[in-house]
Amino acid sequence: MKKKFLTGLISVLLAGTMSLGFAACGGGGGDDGDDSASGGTVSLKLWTPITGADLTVFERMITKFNQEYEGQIHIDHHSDVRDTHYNNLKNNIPNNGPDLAIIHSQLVKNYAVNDYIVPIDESFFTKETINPDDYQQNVMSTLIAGENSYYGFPLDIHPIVLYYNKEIVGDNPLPTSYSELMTLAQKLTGGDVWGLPISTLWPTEFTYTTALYQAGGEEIDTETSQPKFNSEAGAEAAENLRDIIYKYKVSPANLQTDADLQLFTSGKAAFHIQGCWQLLALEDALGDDLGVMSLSGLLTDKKDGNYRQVMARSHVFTVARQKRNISQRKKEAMVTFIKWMGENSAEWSNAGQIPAFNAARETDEFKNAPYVNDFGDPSVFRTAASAAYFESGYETVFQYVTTIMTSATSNIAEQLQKAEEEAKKAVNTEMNG
Amino acid sequence: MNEKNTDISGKTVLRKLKLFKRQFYGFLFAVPFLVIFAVFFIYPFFNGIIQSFLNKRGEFVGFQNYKNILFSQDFTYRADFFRGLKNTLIFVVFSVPLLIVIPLFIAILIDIQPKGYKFFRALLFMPTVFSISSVILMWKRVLEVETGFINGVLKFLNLSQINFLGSQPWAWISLLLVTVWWTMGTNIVILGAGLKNIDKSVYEAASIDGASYIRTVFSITLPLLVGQLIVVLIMTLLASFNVYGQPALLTTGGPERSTQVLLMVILDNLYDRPYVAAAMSLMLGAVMIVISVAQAAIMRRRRD
Amino acid sequence: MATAKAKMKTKFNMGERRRKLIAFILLTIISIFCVLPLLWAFGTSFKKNALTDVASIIPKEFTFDNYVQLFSNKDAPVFRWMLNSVFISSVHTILYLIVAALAGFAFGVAEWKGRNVVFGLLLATAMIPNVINLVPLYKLITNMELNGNPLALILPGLGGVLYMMLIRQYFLSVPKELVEAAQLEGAGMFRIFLQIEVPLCKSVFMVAAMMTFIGNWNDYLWPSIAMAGVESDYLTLPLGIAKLLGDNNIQYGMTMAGAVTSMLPTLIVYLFLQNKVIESVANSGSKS
Repeated sequence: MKKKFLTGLISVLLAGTMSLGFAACGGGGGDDGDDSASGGTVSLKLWTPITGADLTVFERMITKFNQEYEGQIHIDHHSDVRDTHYNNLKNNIPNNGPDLAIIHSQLVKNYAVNDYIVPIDESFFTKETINPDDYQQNVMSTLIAGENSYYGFPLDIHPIVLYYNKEIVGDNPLPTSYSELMTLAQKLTGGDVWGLPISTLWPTEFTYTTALYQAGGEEIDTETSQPKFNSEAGAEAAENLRDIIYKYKVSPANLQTDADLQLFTSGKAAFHIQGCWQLLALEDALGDDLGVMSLSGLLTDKKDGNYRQVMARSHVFTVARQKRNISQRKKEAMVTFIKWMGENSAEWSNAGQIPAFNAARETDEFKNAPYVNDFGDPSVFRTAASAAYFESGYETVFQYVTTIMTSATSNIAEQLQKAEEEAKKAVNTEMNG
Repeated sequence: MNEKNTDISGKTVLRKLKLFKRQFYGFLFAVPFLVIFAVFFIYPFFNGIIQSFLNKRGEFVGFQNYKNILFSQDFTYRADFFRGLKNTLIFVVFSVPLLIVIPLFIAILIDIQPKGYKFFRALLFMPTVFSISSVILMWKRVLEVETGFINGVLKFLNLSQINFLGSQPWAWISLLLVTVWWTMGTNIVILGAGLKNIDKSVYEAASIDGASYIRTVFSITLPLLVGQLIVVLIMTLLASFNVYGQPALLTTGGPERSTQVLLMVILDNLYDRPYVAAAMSLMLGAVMIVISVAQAAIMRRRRD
Repeated sequence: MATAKAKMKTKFNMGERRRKLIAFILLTIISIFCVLPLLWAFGTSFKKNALTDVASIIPKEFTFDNYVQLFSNKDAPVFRWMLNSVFISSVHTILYLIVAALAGFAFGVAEWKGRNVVFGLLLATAMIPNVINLVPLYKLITNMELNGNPLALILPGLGGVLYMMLIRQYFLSVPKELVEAAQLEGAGMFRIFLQIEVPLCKSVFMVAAMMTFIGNWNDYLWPSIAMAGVESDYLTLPLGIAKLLGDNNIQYGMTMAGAVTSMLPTLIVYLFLQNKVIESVANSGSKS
């Protein structure tokens, strides 16, 4: 009896899944069938690391593009969380990779060096051209591969910003320096509320780098990929972050990734440092109580040099290498798509992202977008230096920053020294290992 | 095709031919398995060894990768490999005894057959059938600071919070807790089956001698259970060496990479430096083989 | 003498009753601790303010929103993931049973030249841990362009030696006379296999099926490599839930709803088959 049940169960399940199951074969299979055909729709696979609330807006743009170019170009979009996205690219290029991939600007050069992406050169611009001057110079300058040849074109710039809870902050004047921020945060800490809860894990990459820039430091040597963070400025940056937790005590210790975000969304935090990309989620949670301001000048007490700079990243459209040559039709379609996304990127600001396409920032849609204009002056957004081994040469430091932020007594100089040594080894491993 | 011809004409021919036919026919049964085994086991096995002797450009470099991993200070491999190996060994050393002692204790309780023992057994086995991600997703929420269940209760009781996932030794304790919760069921059941086979009259006999129950367990039950214990030990040991999902999903190797096990290091190198990943996994495999051989030797000596 | 023994027996029974009570209490305590996180997850999936309402199992404010959110999230097709997993694990299990049974027959019943040599070699490889093959296997499926294809999760495990040997073990225990008698009646090998060996060893197939299915169902490491880059709709359950885990830290209640949704069907199937599952695990341990 029971056996019958088992076989019955399995056969029912099998029949049920058979119909959908093997569609999965096409999932990663990749098919360039339309490559040689001259008519019909050009289908482009696009892989991105865009997830969460941003995704809704991004997909809306893709749908709009697909409608506008119906019968000509179709974008087939697939997204995954950051780490998975990059593993996916490495895993599948060139056999089963996408046609287009969004890569964060600081990693673009590395993907070029490792042959995962190909430069967008004159051969792409047979029908339409893209003018590099149309994009924010700061980012665009890191993407030049040669004369009339680019590793990619940026979609946006996304900085971190300082969110605050208007109800908790009340009538207090907003801070303009690190000391002022700390004083106010201390004043607001009490009861269930923390002044500025900060995770020791994330977005440390942004927070530390911003503090580093503001203290006058640099992360990496663009030519050699050798680390440059082990400096006075690097130490000051780490100390300022640690002091938030242990000196000013405006944050609980040892917060995991997004625990600070959870505190802020549940109304238990006055301030919150977070990427602009969480804007939609925070609007959802806090409604009218949500306030936004730039972190410019708030992680240092310095009033000179780069003290106003805020670290930003940029999503860049790149072209993945493929086993076969990319057909001319595909190349032209790619240019059309990238150009269209730039020209229509004002909509992207609805997700809290700042368009990298200059004209998009001049549109009413962008200017009227709530909060986004509070993110600060785009000229203070500094995107990462362009180095071939950025991840190894700089990003190694973050876990040491976490160590520093986890203990009131760890030796900052020693930790940065260790981080530097490891970064040098990591660069060497990537170059020669 | 040819075989079929012999088949038809062979009826009247010698017995010898029939024997030959039978021999070949028997082999055919093994063919599907052997083909798959060759393609997905034998070939990768040798291919992996070859890969570990190549460099980035596919040139043969002999034992260079192994040397780099074990000795070179110029690269990150050495630190990564030994850190990973150390962490894997820490997990093995703590998880294996726990995964034997706790299931054994529970199996003995169940073997006493109290009311509803079948229910308890089914219940305690249950977590085994959940997939690792579901298990971790749930436990991560249970263990988090500020928003986690346990810390919520601690806060409610006015006790200080515990940073389960971001500090040591709590991160290891969390991983062990989750692993025991998730996998102990298998061992409970296997050991329980062993206990069930022990003739209950031995307890009775022991009881007549006035031995306490606990002493009976140690002096009579355990020695009779050696077979099952060894099976469980080997299975648990191999599973623990292969630990990956728990630290990868629960602690992502943190804090400060102190739970980054060797398999995570191997995967980190998989895409960019497969030759290094291949060499590392061969060395991990070698460690595992040495331990199982040693174990087999000890077993054999005990049996003699 | 007889009365003394009876006396001892009642004493033994007394002790036994107390032992049973103690065992019952201990098992109850252990079980409560084991079920607690599950109950909490279940409760949390119905909490309106999952982020703040953490210390209790029962929601302060009850809501279905978390489930509504989950099921309307097109990036988290939990049921689809489940179907994918059921499909992949079922196909894998069925194919494995066929391949392994044939091989078990070839090595246990049939006689052919070189059989013992080949079997000895297989036995020797049982010692080699799968970890060793991880990197080259990845390279192999890449060369076969199977990345992201369910076949990458179905095929490699079919060469598993363990349960093939277990099946062979059972085949060996079938009386030789039966086989010889069938042969005298002119039955071919395949008929012997299908009509004598397989029906007589049903139980081992259940063991192998259960263990293979659960193993494949719960696998995470290999699928996370082999399926990298496939769209949400084609993920297996473990991969999908891992994605959910990585994606959403704010929609706390929704992720708990995801955890519950992913566990519940497994739980229901388990409730129906628990005896079979437990029996299989017990057998797999005692025979290997």
